[in-house]
Amino acid sequence: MSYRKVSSVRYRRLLDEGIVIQQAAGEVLALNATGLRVLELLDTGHSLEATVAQLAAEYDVLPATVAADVRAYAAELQAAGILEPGTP
Amino acid sequence: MTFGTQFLTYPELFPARLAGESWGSQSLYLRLAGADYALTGLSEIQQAAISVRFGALCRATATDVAAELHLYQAEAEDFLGIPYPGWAYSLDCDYQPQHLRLAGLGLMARLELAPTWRGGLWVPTADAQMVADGTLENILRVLVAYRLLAQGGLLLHSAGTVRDGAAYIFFGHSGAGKSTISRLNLSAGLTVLSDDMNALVWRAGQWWVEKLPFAGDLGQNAVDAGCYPLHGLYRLVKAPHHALHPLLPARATASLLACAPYVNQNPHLLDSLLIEANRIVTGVTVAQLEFALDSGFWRCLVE
Repeated sequence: MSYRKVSSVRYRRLLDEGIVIQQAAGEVLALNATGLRVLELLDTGHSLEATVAQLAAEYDVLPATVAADVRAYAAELQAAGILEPGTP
Repeated sequence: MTFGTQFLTYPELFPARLAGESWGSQSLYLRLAGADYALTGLSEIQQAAISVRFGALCRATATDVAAELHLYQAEAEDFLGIPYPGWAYSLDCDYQPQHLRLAGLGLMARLELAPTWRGGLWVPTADAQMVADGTLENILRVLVAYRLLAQGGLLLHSAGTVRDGAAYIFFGHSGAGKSTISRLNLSAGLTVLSDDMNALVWRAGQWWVEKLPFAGDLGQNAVDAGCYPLHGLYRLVKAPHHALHPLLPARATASLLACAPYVNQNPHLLDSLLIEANRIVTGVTVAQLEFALDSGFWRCLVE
């Protein structure tokens, strides 16, 4: 499965954290480093499976260790109006 | 939804430039956040109403005008009525790199941004209605927000209070407790700046708070200027007990951005807004204040 960023959403890296701005609503969220990395990977064309693999490699853990968390987090971002299903 | 359709009968005829018939030949200057804003094209009634509304902030001359807003005539039939029962006040904005178009209840406005800083406000009556109903103030709020950001400052949806000569800014969305904390501070004999909008400005190597004549639920008795060194910025969160918690930089920046009205929805300004918010976060205390709706919170801030 793949996601893309909702068009009215912007995000930026600030040190090791992320700031997500939903400009249509004027709402702003802060993401921790891992959350930002998930968003970056999904928004740059990585499928959910590829995002899991990439994160597992970066954190030196088994994909199965992070898979459920990544899927749940992507669903949270979708519910928050930051991501939507589809290719970037 | 296409720009203007909620408010305008003919959105396709929205003014493409600053032109039209003025309501009059009167003008005045308004001192806002340490800068002079020229209001021109006014009828005598409009000028008088603005002078009453903004009192000591009005002046007849200015040496350095930050921006000009000109009043133009519009026809009553150019505007639709209240969009729907229970409608909450809002403006429809069209963001362009160099200008903004705004449509609202009984108004059209076009604000040319840097470097010209000129705007036009089209309203349907020559009388004082546009002062009484807040039309002028709502456009001025937008203009001040953009001008401040361009000058390296920020308009913040916040309540400001002065204690021991320094300004404490409590920020948060509607319902966070800004008016409540302002009432408590007033009752304690402290100076309250605004319970709705305060201007952060960078001047002489430090952050200052400029008092603005833009009040919320608390209303405004005296309309005057004032500038105070910024002590800190406190994000209000209602809670059972008072407590102060540090905010990590990204969360602090995000919190400020969320309370930077008008400019935080403009996609062309995101990066400059981030720069300014981050500059504030790295320069002053930005913390979260858990607020139990009584004046005991001061113990967290001054002890």
